[in-house]
Amino acid sequence: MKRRPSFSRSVFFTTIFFLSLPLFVLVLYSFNESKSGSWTGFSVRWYVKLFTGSPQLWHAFGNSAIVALSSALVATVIGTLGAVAVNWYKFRLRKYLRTITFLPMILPEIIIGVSLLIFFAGIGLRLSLFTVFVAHVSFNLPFVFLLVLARLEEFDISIIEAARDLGASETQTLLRVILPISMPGIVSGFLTAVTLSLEDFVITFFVTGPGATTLPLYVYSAIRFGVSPVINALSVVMILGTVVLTWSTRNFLKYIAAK
Amino acid sequence: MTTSKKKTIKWGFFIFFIPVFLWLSLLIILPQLELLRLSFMSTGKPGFTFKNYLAFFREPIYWLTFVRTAMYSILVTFIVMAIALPVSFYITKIARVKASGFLMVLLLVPFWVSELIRVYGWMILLRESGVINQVLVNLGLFKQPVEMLYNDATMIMGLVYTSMLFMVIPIIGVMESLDDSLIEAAYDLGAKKITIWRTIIIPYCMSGIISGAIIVFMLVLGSYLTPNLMGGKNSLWFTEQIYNQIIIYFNWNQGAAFGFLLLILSSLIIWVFLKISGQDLKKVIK
Repeated sequence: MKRRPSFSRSVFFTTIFFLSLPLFVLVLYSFNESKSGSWTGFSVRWYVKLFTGSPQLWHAFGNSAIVALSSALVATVIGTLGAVAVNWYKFRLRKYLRTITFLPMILPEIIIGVSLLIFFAGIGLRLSLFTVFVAHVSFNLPFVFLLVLARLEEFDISIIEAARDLGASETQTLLRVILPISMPGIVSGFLTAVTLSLEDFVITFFVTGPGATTLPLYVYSAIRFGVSPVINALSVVMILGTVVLTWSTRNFLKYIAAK
Repeated sequence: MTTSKKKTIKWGFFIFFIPVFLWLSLLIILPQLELLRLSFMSTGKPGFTFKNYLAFFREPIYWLTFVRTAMYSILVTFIVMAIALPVSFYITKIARVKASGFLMVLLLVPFWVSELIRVYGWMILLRESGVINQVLVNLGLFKQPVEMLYNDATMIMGLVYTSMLFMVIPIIGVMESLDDSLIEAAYDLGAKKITIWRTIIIPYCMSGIISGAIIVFMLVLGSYLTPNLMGGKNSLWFTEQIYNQIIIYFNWNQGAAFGFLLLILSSLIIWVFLKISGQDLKKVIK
């Protein structure tokens, strides 16, 4: 359906322009020689400073990586087990389980952050990287749970029954049938969890302790209290990182789906 | 799949069930209950009190921030809707099939980048020593740089920017199944564009619009970074009031009460949206 120059087309391209403008400017100005908004010449000095002269930043990055990987791993294990429980067994608390896995996705982030802060203080747990880890597992868990469950539900359950009828033990059925079936859900759950964890600001903001600054928190304070072009360079690296990560995740999932 | 096919409980079941059950009960449900309890308490005094909720209504700065946040969130939702409809229409109905995949990527990539960095990009553009000011002063359009950050309009633009995708995706999902021949027929029968939008496209996409509106509204209402970094001193967001009570004044009871008011507001407006459209919340989130 092609029509005369349309209103929709102009809105579309204006929107694309509006969406990419700030990212484009970040990339461009990360190569700017000067610190200010005016262009004074091409330079990679901010990249050099990013990789060689920013120990605090890399410490924060290290914290982020530790939290993202460990919380995604734990959330993936617990979430997958839970999804299998809901899909495989019948029990009274199924409805409750579905509700509580749904809740963290609709609660405003700040409320999760505040309630966890109060809870940690209440049980006398000192704020540290560990509390950040616990918080991240809590908000990642529902995503893994729902992704794995969705995968299991779209699959014909009779294949499991067939395995059982043909004499597979419960453990065999689990490892040889259910696990491979849910693998795409598990992988996308894990990757979603890593991404969410790497990007989280608000919840981490409330539950972090001294020395446990994550990368988004570091970037926030750098932006808030003075501008350093090192952050521009970092942003570009992060943009590239997320684009590559998301792109490969999507292709990986397509590849699995096609198999 | 029928439940009758499910297995009955054996003890092995608990290995699957217990971790997720305990983790979420202890770290999501219990803290919410504790938050609710604290909101009815007062430091130093035992017993229940409505003091924190009363303070909200007595102090204009609190409830004004609350009302403003709600109003702006609704405004942002409508702006996003107005942009998302033509954008989705272009990508599903006008753009050539070959191009639409690439255009979709153009649309998505900015949202793969974290909110913090996108907001920072705008700050570089808009601040007093920023790129737009430099360009305008050099072109002679401005005599001196103007601070374009830290006001309501900029903040609203930022919120539209950060939440737009969540409206575009559900609308595209619905619009794809809209039969082109319906629109063509309307054209051939002499309908104006505005009539086609009003009587065919918008009613058809209503379920997508409502899902998008609910997600956008929830995100905007609960957002912290964008209002905090782009809004001015006078454009305080309600989430910042919560932050102030908890972190700055260390008044956790008051902060807890604010948290619940935010929760009530967001549930209420979502409930109204769902009532109007007769939809199911679980379907909306998916």
